[in-house]
Amino acid sequence: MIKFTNIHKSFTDEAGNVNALINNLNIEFNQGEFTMIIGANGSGKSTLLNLMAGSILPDSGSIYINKIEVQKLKSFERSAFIARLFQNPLQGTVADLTVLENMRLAFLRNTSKGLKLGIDKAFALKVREAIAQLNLGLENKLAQKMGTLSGGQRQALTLVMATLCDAKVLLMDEPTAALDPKSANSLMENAQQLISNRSITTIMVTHNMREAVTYGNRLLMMKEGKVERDIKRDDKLKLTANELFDWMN
Amino acid sequence: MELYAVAFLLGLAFVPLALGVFLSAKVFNIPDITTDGSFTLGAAVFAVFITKPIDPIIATLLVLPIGALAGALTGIIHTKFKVNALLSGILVMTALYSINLLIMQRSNIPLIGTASLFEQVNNTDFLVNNTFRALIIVVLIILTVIWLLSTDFGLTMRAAGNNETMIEAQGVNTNRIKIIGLAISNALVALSGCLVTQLQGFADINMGIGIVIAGLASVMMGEVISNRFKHSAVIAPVLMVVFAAILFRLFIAFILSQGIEQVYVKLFTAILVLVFLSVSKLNFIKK
Repeated sequence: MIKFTNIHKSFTDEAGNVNALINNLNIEFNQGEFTMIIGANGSGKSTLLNLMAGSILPDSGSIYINKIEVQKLKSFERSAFIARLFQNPLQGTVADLTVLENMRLAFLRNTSKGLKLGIDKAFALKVREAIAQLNLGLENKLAQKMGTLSGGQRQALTLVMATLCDAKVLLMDEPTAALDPKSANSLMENAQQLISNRSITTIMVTHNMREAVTYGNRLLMMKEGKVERDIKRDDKLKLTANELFDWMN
Repeated sequence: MELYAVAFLLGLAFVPLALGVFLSAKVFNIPDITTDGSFTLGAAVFAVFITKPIDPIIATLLVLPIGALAGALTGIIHTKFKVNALLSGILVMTALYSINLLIMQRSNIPLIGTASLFEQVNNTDFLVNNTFRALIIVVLIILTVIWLLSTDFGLTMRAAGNNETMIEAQGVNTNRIKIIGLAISNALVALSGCLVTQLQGFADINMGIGIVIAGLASVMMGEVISNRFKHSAVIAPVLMVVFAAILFRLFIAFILSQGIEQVYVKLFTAILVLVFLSVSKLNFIKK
């Protein structure tokens, strides 16, 4: 599904020193796999996500999604395959547009944005049904501006937006970082269910060790731009948050 | 009273300008100074076409793609050459001064006796008839803008000015959207220049200088008023900008009726914009 081949990415600091962010990375992510990535700051986990999304380009190597080499595609071109859930809830939605209008934008992801009045009763009904799956009561707030909702509600709706457009890949960059524990828990439960139902290949970066062991079916532990441990589902279940915390330190 | 009736009529001719500035400044969040040049461009192109002579309806319609070209040029300089949006507009505006002179071949073209969408002043009912005609044109423009902003493309335009990161993540080429948006904005501005030139009976090379402030004044006034309509994302803001464009001309008529000289009009315009900018930022008026 997703394949990184000999990916290298470095940056030059103010003193002129070259630092490797990702060091000759070779890794594959299978269809429907929900992978959690942990690691200390600077370990390369967010860089990996940004390389996949096209926010930054690799110095060398290739990235394939469904056998299509994507590293030369611009960010907006890659979004035909990739949906994103950002760390900042404000980033994933348009504050001045209503919930329904945001959903329409997500729905149009892989289609042309033509001169059609796309928001009608049938579309509203479809969105209502999709949002109702969250069990947060947000299906009654379709006409409300996104900016009036809480961070947790916006993140949950961004998740629905990812599923509305049938994205093949979902990238989540610390999506619960700005949320209170209850909202974070609710978001992750919803994410797990939606990802599983839709079989979306998902990669999530987190600093929350409990999330890392509780959710997903694969765990990558990164250090200095390399994957130090790659733990599959069965072994992952045996891990505890404290063990991960010890590894991080 | 006739002063205010003329101001109302002139206000209608300035509605496309206000809507053009609304698109660039509020929808796209781009301070587009091309406006000063494209307003005169519309007037210059119409004046030359009408003296050929070309039918006034066709001449007016031809102004739209030419104005759009000016806006698209600003958009291309900004997005493809990575020049700051404000500077891109200034560059095109500066270039347009020479281009407009080249089109006009002189600094002023009188249009007395030429065909026009409006009736000549010597007709007794000219004010009523011209207001009626201007109203029809303005209603058509308003409906077109509201329809455009309500379509999927319009939705994408509104999102692009609000959250570029998100809209790129939704697969939108924001550069393309900006170019098209600025083209539409400047097409409207050029149309406004064309209508104003038909009403005042001449095209002048300097008629666009500082006109962006007049557009901004309408947009700011409109924004302050439309903030009261929380659930209307398109209709209320557009209608309030239209209302403010007319109100602005009435305000100028009021200033002039108080014996204040024409030379101070732009000073009062700047003060008005400042007042409404402050009101919108400081939230004096309850939302």
